[in-house]
Amino acid sequence: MIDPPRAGDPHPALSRAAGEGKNCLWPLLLAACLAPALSWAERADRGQPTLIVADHQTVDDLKQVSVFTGHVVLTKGTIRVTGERMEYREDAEGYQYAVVTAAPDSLATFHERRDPAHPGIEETIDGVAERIEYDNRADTVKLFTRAIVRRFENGVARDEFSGEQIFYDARNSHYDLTGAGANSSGRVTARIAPRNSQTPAKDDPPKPPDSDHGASR
Amino acid sequence: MGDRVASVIAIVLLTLVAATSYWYSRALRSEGQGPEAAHAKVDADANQVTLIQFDEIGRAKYKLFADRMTHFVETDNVDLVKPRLVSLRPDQPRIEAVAQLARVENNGERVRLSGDVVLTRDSPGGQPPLRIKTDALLALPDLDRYSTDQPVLVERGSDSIRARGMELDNIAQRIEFFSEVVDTITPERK
Repeated sequence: MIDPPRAGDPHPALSRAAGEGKNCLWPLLLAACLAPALSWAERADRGQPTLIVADHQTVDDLKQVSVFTGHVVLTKGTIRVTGERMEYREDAEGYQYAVVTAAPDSLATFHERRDPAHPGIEETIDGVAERIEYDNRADTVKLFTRAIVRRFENGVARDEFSGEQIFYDARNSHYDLTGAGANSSGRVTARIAPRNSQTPAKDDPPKPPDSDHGASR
Repeated sequence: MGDRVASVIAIVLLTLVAATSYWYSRALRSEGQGPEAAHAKVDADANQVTLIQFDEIGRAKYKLFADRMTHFVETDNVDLVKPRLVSLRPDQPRIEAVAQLARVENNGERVRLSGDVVLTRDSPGGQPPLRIKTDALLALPDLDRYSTDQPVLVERGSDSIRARGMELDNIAQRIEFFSEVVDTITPERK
């Protein structure tokens, strides 16, 4: 899992943009460069029960919504979502939708394992943000404010994306990054490992993310 | 001299009788504030009873069935063995609660169910009914509210919620769980 930035730390993307005075949105679509590397969210997760642990829960049968508060942890197979508050609902077909928000000075987290695309490589996705929206039907995760997503292979960080908003479309292996709003100088950052680089064996100890392989826009 | 001794003995006996009466009345009063005891005075006792609570225009609000009923004079409480409470509000999901024992207080305003309590609430749209299991449940039939501070297990189909402390508001159709929530949702519908 990603260690959340400490309170008061500037976001890496905002730090890089400081002093440049650019006030604009920075959408960055990375489907093409990541498509060969990414795979579906683990299909076995779909058949797993969902377990939600919290300090408090309110079930509204009229609105068909549950609100969990206090140290909320959702697990479903390899998927794990944490935060301070979560609104959860299911549609008539049983697809799940969750909006998770973090406690003040903290970040909500998202973790999942992907279906193996290459033998011997276990691929996982970790994300943090102040708010995370999980849509089980569309197979998307949307991260809002101080958002970071990292892709790991056998525990080693390979790709990292940061921005004010990250839309992660697992079905199409597609990331959509957006910097801060029009009135600030936020930028997005993407750091992508070369696709022909050696992936460590599954039993090798985890290493920190590659530092200078990728792109920054 | 003999008359004086007899008078003293009579006074001592009277004092003893007065003290015993005072102690007995105090004991009865304190028992009336707690659980009904074997000494509490009973003025009605029946087997296989049905109690019906009516609203101001004479409609039945709820029914209470029991294997045995005991009514206590001092508190006006009613104790029930093997009670079954059925809520009859026509515009709300039907609720039925069973338990080992129940105490009806304050002219039916409160019903305290205890021992193997199971509350079942109908669900709309063909969904499975909601079933709540706990050791003790306070029912407020006039408000259609049900609460407990005990561990509770809620089941609907194959989904379940475990928690400590719960309040069900059947009019608002909301359930609140107060602590230690573990909600398990199965993917059976997909």
